[in-house]
Amino acid sequence: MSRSSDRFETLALKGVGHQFRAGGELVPTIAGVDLEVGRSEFVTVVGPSGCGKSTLFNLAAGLLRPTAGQVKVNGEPLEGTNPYVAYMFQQAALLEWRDVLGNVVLGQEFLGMPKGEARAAAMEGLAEFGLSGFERRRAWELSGGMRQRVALLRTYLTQRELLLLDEPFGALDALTRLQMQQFLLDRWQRDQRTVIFITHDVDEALLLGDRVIVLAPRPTYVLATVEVGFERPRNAEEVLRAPEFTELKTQMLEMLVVDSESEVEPDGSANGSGPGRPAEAERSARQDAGSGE
Amino acid sequence: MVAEQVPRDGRTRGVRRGLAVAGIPLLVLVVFFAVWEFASKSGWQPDYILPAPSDVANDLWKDRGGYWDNAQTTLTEILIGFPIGLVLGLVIGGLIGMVASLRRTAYPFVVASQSLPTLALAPLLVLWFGFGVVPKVILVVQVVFFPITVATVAGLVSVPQQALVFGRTLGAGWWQLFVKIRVPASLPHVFSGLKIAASYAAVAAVIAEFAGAESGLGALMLRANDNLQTEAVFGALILITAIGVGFFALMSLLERLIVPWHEQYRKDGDR
Repeated sequence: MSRSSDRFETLALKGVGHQFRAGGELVPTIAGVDLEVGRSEFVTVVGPSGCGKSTLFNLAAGLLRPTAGQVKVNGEPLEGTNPYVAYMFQQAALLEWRDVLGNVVLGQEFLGMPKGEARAAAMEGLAEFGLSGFERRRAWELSGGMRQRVALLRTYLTQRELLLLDEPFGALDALTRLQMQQFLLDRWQRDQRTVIFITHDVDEALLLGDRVIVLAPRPTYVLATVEVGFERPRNAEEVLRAPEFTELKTQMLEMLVVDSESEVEPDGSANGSGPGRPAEAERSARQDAGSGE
Repeated sequence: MVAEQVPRDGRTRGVRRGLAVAGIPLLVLVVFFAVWEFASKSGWQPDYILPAPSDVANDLWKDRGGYWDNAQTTLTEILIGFPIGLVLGLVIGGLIGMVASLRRTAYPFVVASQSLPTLALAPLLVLWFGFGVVPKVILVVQVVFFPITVATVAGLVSVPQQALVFGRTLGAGWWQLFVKIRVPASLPHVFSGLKIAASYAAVAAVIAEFAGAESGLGALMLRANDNLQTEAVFGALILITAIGVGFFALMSLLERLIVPWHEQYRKDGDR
């Protein structure tokens, strides 16, 4: 078992499958996923809604046990919760009874950090995240973008090295989302912590990630892995305007659309496709494209 | 960072709306009493059927010592029964809310306990426990604990799951999550249960007194009814209502003090 004082090096899902029991029946959510994420990688995950992306996160965090395969952290099988992980969600999940400062220090409180130290780090973070002067505000007084910044800061302040961001900008309007994407790109650049970022937005996946994992509908498996070569530090507007971007986007949309047409299974259990199907079905569409701007 | 609009709270508008909310019921009440007074004084109905509000007020003042003695009994029953029901409701609701298996096994029994007809239970309790305070307290406990149990369960079940997941990944223990997330998240629910319980408590005490009591507003009402002292029946009714409303107001006040975020959140949702 890896201790949290060690440095995070790799997260590996090896043939990971998951199913849950619903009324005596086993419902497969993840047919089989192989995935390796190394330190300082920014990996984005796209897939149709309800395909089991969040289950994948819970497996990586050690909150769920795989029913097949193995989750390994730094090469060791993961037991208990993953000591490197910090979460962030689509709904900021801010506590309404706490003000902004109180919400921001929540993670540090859970980690048992001394109050003064946590507060000092929080105040510094608030300034960096453009939230100075809002310490005493309540979540409902903030705009959607600010709420997500509070949640992102809370996650960053845990000092955890593997950030699991579950559609964090999914509920924002287009303009605010673009601002947040640029903000995250810039913030990532500073200490380059490992990020796995779930989204259903192809643009977002390509803009942010070094690598995009495309997932199949439920029960899910890795449909394709797309390498994204845009140079860092990235400027959102430049990337979005690059011809390579459009090319990659077209390819990915084709993949997603074709797949959802041929394999629509609303309850995920219709055609007897249990765990085991994935590997052979995986279109090994590893592509190198879009290098540079 | 690009500046973003922060919604301002509409406090002045809230005050004006508050006045409008309080003003209309007040007006209705004034008209109601005026019509009643007129109906009674005009000789449309005899005094023992419908005493005038002024006569009721006069009786309340004249016999204030007697009313107060009886009100004290009823208040005592509530003040003993309510906290017991509250603690019972929090504990049972807490257990049911936290333990999924109890939700299936124990919850039906809690619901069944509430299907007991309170009115029918009262004479039985008097038979068992006598004319004293005990059967009244039991009945108050029985009506108070249920809404609080249900509210506590609802509160604990509706806790923001993502905040719990966030905590769990950081190694937060059961107690930490309970104190920092579950309890504050369920408090607004608990308070809506408390308000319902507060308005039931006085009714339960009075019904228990009907079944047999030496003193109390319920006992006073029954005696006055037998003697055709209808103004005293109304006097007792008014005091019972006042106690119920008073308890409700007290809970609302506590709610504002203890869970202010909830009230404001709702206002924000209104706009």
